[in-house]
Amino acid sequence: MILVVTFSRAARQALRNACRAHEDAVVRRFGRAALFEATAFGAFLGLRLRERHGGDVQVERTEPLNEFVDELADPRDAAEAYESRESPSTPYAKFAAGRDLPSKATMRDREL
Amino acid sequence: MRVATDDWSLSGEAVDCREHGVPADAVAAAIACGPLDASATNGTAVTTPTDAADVTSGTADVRVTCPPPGAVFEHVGVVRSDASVDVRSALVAAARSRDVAVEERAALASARAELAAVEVPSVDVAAARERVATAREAEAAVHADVAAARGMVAAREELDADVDAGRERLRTAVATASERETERVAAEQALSRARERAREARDARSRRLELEDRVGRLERDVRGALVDAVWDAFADAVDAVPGDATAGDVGESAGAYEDDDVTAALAVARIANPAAPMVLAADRFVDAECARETLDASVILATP
Repeated sequence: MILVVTFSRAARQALRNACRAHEDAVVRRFGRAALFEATAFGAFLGLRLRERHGGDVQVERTEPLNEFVDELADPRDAAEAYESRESPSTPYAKFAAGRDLPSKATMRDREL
Repeated sequence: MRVATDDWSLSGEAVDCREHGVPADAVAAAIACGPLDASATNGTAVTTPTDAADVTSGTADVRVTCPPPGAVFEHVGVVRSDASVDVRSALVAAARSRDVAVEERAALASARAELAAVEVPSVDVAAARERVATAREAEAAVHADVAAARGMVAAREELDADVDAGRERLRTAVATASERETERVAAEQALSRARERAREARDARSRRLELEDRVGRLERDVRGALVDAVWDAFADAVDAVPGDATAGDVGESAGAYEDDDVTAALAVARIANPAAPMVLAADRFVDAECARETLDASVILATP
């Protein structure tokens, strides 16, 4: 999808107007940001805002995250194990230490 | 203050030019149009301002010599019997004309100063994005050349034909592919650096947006506080100026007024400290002097 984030009052207002005028192309609105459909029209809406407001508009292309791909096996297993821990107050670092789970630093250093 | 045409002129703080049939709009336009351009008078002598702050303005038809109008004039500068006034906005202007101090102003000034101090570094990521897109396309195109050259060499080898020309072409394509790969990698690195800088610049932009919102909220607060500060005075003024409405028609809470607009406009004028004269075309005062006393401001009575 097309993620549009605004960084000025004028750009935020223009985004609101665009969302109101083209509801069919809007997937979700969040305050000063919005997700548009992954269509050329969605891109058009984002690019128009960027054309007019320059650096006050950030446009990103997002894709759904599939946690079952091999690349994400480690963080997925870690998240699953940590969320089913018995003691809710255990910090992740301590929880991972005794187990075969990646450390926070390891995960930070590994780019996807 | 002086109101003049080519035929007559009237001076004083309470001027009644109704007998000359000068419409209020013409007088208001004369006051609002700013310092008079001498050429517009076709050589007619322009009165020397009586006071250093006074400016003579107007058209060749009507000229008014008076201090330049402030925000109050925009709201209640002309009062006709069909006047319509935004009481809250007018009271904000009135309070400002009296230099009413509200404590919210300090917070507003400091938020404005903070906002002015925000510096957003300029980052051009578009050029870097375009370079990456071009480099990727160029690389993909040459890969196709390499594959084609490789296929041709293999085909000729199978036929035991001369492969020298084909090999040369393959070598050239491989060399180009390697160059383009280098360019693509360089372009991607440049883009990733530009994105990093853009991300930092967005922190500043976010900060600026927060401050803009804060300034907006504080401006509303200041306006609200100004209305609060003069609300009781406004109620008294509604009582004091001619009209059916009385202080009892003015609500307890600031901003709650639903009686006639002429009375409201006159009440605002009474509590304000307007620089320019008030132009009155509503039949509420017996004469100009009475209006001047009630409104505590210089006045010009004109025809509607």
